[in-house]
Amino acid sequence: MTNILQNYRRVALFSILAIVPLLLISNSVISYGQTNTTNATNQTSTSGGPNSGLIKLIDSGILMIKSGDNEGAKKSLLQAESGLEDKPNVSGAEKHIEASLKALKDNDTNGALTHAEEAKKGLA
Amino acid sequence: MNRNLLIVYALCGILVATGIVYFLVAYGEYTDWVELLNFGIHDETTEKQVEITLFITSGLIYLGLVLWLIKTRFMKKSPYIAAIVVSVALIITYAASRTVGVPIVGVELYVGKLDVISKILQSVAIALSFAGLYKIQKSIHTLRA
Repeated sequence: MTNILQNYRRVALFSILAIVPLLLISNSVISYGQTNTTNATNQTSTSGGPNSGLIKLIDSGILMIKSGDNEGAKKSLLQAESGLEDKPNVSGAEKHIEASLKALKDNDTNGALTHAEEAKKGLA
Repeated sequence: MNRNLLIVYALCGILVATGIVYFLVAYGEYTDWVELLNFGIHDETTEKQVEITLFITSGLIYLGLVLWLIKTRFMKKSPYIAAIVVSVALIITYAASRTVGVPIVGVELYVGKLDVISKILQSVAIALSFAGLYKIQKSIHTLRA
């Protein structure tokens, strides 16, 4: 019994030793595939197309990401995603919006911009 | 502390850490789901439910593996093999979800920080489990000799 208790204590100690450094470095870990900064312009023509409203929302999201307003960007992107409900033909764009939202949550601005631009391309 | 014990305690630590990471991922998915629902987005409900269930189950399995290892006093092969099988299966599932897609969830496009951390931890868990198995095998041979 004492042996088992000692084992549990040691396991707890090693768990802390394993997780603490990971949490400390988690802010410096670069997510793969999200680092290719896009310089694409976000001035896509939005007039007339069936998805122009959604593109405008994504555009405003992109501007907010660039200005550091992550909360505002999140709202714009969520509104855009809401507009994509029940539209299976643009599911690729929806996936990119979701990825952009996840990147925003991770404070990965480059990833968020890249995926927002990709979502816009999917709707254009 | 001898080398054998160091391996098994390190393995247990890594397994607990992996379990905790899975719980954090599940919590993240839950908050995402709540946000989507607040915006009236219901498309994702099934996907989120499946993901949350998978991540919580994975976290529990990792914690269960630690208890199993302790209960068998690190001397049986089966928990090590189970740790390898579970970790490999989860790594393959993750790779599929980022490439060819998985049922219900489809293809996910973002690789997050916690995803990277969990894959590193799982790779270390696989390596340590093999090391543990090797040590057990070696001890058996020594006892027989």
